[in-house]
Amino acid sequence: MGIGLILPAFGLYSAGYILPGLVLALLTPLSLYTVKRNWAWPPAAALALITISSAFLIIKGTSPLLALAAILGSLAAWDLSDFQTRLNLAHRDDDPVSLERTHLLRLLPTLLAGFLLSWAALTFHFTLNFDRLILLIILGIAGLGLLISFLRQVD
Amino acid sequence: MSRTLTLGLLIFFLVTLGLATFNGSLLVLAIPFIFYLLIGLWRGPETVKLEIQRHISKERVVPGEAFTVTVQITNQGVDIEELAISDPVPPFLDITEGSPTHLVVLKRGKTYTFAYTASGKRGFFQFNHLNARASDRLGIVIARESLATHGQILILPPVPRIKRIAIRPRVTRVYSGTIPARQGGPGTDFFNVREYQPGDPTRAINWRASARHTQAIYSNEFEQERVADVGIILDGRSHLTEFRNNHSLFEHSVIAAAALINTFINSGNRVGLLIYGKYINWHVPGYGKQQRERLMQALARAETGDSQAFASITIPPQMFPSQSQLVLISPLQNDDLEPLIKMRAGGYPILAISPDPIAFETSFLPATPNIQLAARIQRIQRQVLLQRMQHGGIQVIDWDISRPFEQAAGPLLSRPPAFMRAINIGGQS
Repeated sequence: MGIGLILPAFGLYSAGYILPGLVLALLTPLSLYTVKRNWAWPPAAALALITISSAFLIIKGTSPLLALAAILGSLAAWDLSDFQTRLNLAHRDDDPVSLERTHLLRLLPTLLAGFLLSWAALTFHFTLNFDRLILLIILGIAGLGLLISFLRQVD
Repeated sequence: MSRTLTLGLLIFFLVTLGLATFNGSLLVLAIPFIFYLLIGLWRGPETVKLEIQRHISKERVVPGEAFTVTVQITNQGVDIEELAISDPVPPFLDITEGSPTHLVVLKRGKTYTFAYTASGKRGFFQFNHLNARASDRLGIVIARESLATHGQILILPPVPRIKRIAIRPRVTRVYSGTIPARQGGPGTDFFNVREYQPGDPTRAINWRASARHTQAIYSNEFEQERVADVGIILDGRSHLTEFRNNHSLFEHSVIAAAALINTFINSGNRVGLLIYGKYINWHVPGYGKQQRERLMQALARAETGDSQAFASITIPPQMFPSQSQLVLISPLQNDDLEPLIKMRAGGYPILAISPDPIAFETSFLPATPNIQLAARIQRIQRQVLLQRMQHGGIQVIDWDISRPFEQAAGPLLSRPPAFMRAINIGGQS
């Protein structure tokens, strides 16, 4: 969460918004304190705040990679703080280390895949004509339908 | 706010803003959220099919005695990546070993077993459900279930042993027991001298009386001993029994009630119980082990409370057989005097066992002059109340709970030997 707050703070500071950047920077130790105290709502509030400030940075023309890194950091923090709350239910016989490991093995690839997809979207730009665009939309709708039916079968 | 909703709102915000500003980078920011959400939705369990089996090592324990709860959960549905189990434990139980909450991965068809050891104060608890929360590893799709289980634990009050309790109700029942019946017949205690009747054993002949009155032979008659109806009234009014910092006089009253019930039922009497708190909890009189079990369970469940309707103690007389013995266990207050005197006047012999609330409260208060003075005033008022009750024909036992009930009240309650009663010593207060 600290990374998630520091990055947009730096971005805001670089873009000339010194006071908002300073406020976000000051919120960093506060957010770490709330995480340490196991408060439930600050991670979600911080995630929303970081998302809004990242969006603001992009509108103001700052590097999207900086905003993306802030988003990924805050998403990880939000996920881990919630997992910590759930992990408090675990007894030592439940092997909490193994639970942590399996959780991280799910979270890290998810974040990595999200980052790679975003990075690819930022890097590769395709110019499509109308026919191909229609084809892509049809493929997208069909893929979504297949995905839903697959998920139903799995369940 | 649920995690799915939080993510949904953030995605909606970014997509709407991206479309509104024609800025593709904003749409790109939504991709990690969308991916995270999709992964969670894909792996999340929609329904939970769990089979629960619970085993409790003991059904009844005494306060402080440990018992083990074992729970076995079998997953009969789809794989569950994260299953949080929480067994609700009442506040009066302390977990001494293990844990009632767990977080596990439970594959389809697999069984997970956990156990915990607990002990606690007096009470009754039914383990009738168990909370399960199944989710994917990211905690996006959550299925909550309250699973029905069976099991109960009864923590009975300790039962101090009192050998005998000397009561003399006016009316007894027909069966032989230990209560003097005010009637001549077979027994052990001298009752009367009457003219010899054929069939009287020769050892019953009163030779001295027969020698003085030579026109007839006289026999000694003994007092019959029978069982009686006993109504025990346990005062659970919280304004009299509950003090600051969770100090409760009621627990001591419950112990006294348990001792009395046990002794009266063991002597063959018919015993009923009235717990007087927020509500009137009435258990009809009965004999034997089943009745003892019933009343002990009632004592285990007994709670304090204040009735909105009655400030002073109000005992509906129709609850007890006419002229039966009543035993009231109460700290007593001034307003109780009148209804108790009325009951006594109605023919009910009353034995009042009063745990001393002043000694109890001052034991955990600082010994400042003000508190000592207040305690002294209260003590005088209490003495006056107890004396007025005694003058009204109510037998009163003032119990300082710093001494165990069987030691403090036992000698006063026990029936003195016949020779001591003959010379009017002991037994009656």
